[in-house]
Amino acid sequence: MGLIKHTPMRLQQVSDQDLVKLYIGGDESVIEELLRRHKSKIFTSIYLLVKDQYLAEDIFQDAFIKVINTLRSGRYNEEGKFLPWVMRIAHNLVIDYFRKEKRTPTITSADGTDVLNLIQIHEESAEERILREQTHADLRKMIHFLPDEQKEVLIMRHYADLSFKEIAELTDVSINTALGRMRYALSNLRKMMNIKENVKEISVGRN
Amino acid sequence: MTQTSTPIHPKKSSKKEAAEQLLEPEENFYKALKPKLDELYKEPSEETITKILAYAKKR
Repeated sequence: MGLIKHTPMRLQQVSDQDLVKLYIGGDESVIEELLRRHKSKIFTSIYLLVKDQYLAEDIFQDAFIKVINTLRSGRYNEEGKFLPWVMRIAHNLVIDYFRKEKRTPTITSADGTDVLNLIQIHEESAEERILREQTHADLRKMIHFLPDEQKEVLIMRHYADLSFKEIAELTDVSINTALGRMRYALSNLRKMMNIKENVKEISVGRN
Repeated sequence: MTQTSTPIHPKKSSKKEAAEQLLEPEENFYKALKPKLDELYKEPSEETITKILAYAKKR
């Protein structure tokens, strides 16, 4: 395999595929660049699926250990893209975890309470910070309330930045099914937000 | 003469591509929701990154 010469300054311009080739060729330092590029997407996706910081850290670490082992063993398929491949590994680890624990992520809630409270963020006071954190918590809950397959598509599409084609391949469904699940996810999120707004209006009306 | 070129933003273009496949009300809702979804991004701890890098460097 022809090795690609690089300087540390240029690493940011090297494609994922070339970084992978560099790693396989013996340049261990490039893993840092791959992590820098993708850690946030992968970690957020895992975290939103498992809803636990420590567990997400473990799964994230295990996923990258698998990535490294696969690259070292020469079993990596260079035709595939790096991020969807890592997401597939992480996704499988999440599924394995829920299987082992005989737990499944929470399924749809019909009532949709405890959901989004939209606020504008400007100069933030302590009160506003608390409200913002509550908003984040509410949005995470809303995502968690979605049926598993809708939640997966939303997370993979938005946070992992995968295409519907990549999501379809990863979850073993057609592109139309993946797209349909995204539509349902958005529709359900909107319903939950509307319910939350209605509850808020009723509450304000009573006071 | 000023030369012009089209910047390549893979992330933005792929998001746009996906949005185009959604129906208009869904697309508009998603656009409005994106900033809030983006606020949920999280990073793994430095400790986890350090462990991965240490493992990657062991041959």
